[in-house]
Amino acid sequence: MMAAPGAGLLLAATAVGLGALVLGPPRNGELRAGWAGAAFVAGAALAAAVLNVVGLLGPPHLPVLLAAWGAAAWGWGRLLRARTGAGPGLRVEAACTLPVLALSTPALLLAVAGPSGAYDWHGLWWPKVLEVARGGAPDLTGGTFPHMHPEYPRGLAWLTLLACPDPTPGSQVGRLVTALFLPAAALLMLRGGELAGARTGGLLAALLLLALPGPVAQAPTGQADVPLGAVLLLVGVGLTELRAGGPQGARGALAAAAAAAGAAAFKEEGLVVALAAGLLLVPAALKGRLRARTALALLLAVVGPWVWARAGVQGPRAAALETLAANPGMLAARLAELPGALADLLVEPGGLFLADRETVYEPSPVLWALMLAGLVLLPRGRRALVVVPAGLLLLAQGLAVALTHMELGHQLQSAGSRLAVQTAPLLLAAAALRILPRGRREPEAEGTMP
Amino acid sequence: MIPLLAALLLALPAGCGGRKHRVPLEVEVLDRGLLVAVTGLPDAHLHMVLGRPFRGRGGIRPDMPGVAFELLPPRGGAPELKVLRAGRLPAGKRVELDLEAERLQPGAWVLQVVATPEDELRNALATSRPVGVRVDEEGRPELWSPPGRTLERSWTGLLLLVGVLLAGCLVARLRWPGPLPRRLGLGLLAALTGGLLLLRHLDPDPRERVEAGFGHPPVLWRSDWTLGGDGWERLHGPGFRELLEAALRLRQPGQVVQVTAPPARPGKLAAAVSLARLLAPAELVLEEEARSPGLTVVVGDVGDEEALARSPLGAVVRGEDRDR
Repeated sequence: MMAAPGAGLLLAATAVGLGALVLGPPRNGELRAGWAGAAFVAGAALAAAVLNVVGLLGPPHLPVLLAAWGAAAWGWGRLLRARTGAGPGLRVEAACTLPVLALSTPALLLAVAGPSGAYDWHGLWWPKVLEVARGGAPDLTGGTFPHMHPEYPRGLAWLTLLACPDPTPGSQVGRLVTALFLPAAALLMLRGGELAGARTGGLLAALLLLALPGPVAQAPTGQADVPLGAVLLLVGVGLTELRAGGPQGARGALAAAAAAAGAAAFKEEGLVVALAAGLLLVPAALKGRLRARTALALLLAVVGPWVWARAGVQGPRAAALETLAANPGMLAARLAELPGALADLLVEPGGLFLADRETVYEPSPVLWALMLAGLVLLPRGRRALVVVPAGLLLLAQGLAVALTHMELGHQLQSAGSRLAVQTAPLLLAAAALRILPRGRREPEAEGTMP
Repeated sequence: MIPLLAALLLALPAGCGGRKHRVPLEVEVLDRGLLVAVTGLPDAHLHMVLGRPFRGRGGIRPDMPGVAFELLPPRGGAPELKVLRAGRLPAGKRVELDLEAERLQPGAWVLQVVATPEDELRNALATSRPVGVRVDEEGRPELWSPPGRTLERSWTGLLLLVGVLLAGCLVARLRWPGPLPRRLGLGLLAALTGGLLLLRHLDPDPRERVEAGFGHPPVLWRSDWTLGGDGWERLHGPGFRELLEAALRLRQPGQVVQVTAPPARPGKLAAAVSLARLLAPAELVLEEEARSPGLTVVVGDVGDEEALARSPLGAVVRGEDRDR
């Protein structure tokens, strides 16, 4: 048990070091906690994305890990030499950070002290850790028990090895890896609030995220949804910064690209996030903004090889689509079922708790109402967060749910819970910031890297 | 080519009384499919095809090696699995199947047709919309389909809450002058956050459920939740860790370990599944007896057999050493 905290610290230090290369140092007046959350998510996403692609070549994992740790040390060196200016003050930092950390402790301690991780961790992700640790090119088509979905990306596996190069069976490291993304996402919400000129709104949104039982319960189980939610939030924050232009926009573009690449390395549906980010980066790149072009190139370079490798493997989802396409009657019947099944979901009593008491595979109508309010109902303010990637993710996942031949009610329940965790950080932040008009100036001056 | 299935329920005896019912079903399989009946789960509705090591359950082996079924537990109920009949059906086959309702325990059961793509056994989820019959508490069969739960739940309060939230959002959209929207928004967020935290504080789930990711965690770490100990053993009972470590110690590099468990005991089954995953590559055999030579982890009672290692949960044996 005691090895896990050390592994978590190693991963956090590695991710923040890499994130510093993406984000640059904190700006004058910027909340350090928010910067740290963003740096962790950006660095972890970048590492997962790059190593996922490097892993396609099948290198031994130790040299690759050493290179990643070296890059992180370089980032730390640059960060420590940077002129970062003053923060908002210890009192503000403490007021924003301590509640977030306190409410994150159950997830972190459960990851360290808990037993097992979830079904998906053992079936999907742990075998990938073993595969990466063995070396050799990944087998995206085979897979022996208990390797489910061998066609899924290996980003989480690489992060697990970055935390602990030689994890043992039953190791708690994998669960700690995903648990770390929860406080990081909450801290990143502070940055989103600050960006929108509503620091209080960002804090309240972060606390609301941590008040929900679903994310706190799921984060320490080793599943990829909380990490995906964190990188989705960074995509939204980064693209919002890009809109601001200037040095801040340039770094936002890079952060969004790194996060989007990480999304594709965490989960299959992350490819939708990468696609959305790529599409939103194109206009800025066409306007000749160098950093936007760099960000787009980074995204294509890191995600492209994985898409190429993955495209050669037909997964069950494609097979189901093929079946349905060949049988319009079944497809029509399934679509006809959809409204009723959705109506069932909306009236689940578990919504009062935002998760059913018996299973996490339940939707959360209150959460969905809040998030959809942020996405659709509330007026779009000038500084509102960019939520298009979340919208596209919801749309794509909705279609995927409707067009499979699993039992629809269960599929909707399962996907509803998963999607809520994935999109909650970004959509909750967006909803909160739209409910709360801006009331505080965002940081202005930039820190500089030497 | 992924199989397609369609199941057609032709006739159900109407107005029957008592427990003696025969339920004739006619099933048409448009492509390959597997017919499975499961009892004892009031709200069962889904199977998943898992993977190669599963060889069947309840003493019944489907004639498709590598296919088995994991039933998602119903809300609140412990899984109780019983395969009544399973068999592979060729495409285009119309099969009549008589099911005797008196064999079923009171409550509900489900008949499900599962499409199983021959070349996608690996991991494909190959389930279909379940079609079957349900036996009610009095033993009467009725057409079963995924139940619409809309009217079965107490949801007035929930709708009210959602309505209030949406109304709050709409009020904020009005862009009232002055600080009112900001105050409303702050109040709304703070009340929602505080309410959720209070609910979690007042009614957290037991640690076992929270650790498995299926419960509501407490707001803060509880003082009576120790950090030490072994969570695996909290989940699966004493002896789990001992068994795992013994198997890891005795296994040759690259050796595939076989894990066996009695299929009728869900607790042992869960421990066996966890062991097999941790010992990957491993083969999980849901039978009472290990049948193949090699290192075998037996979850359950191994009697007087010679064991390489023992724990309260089971033992590690060598297949060829076992006296059959």
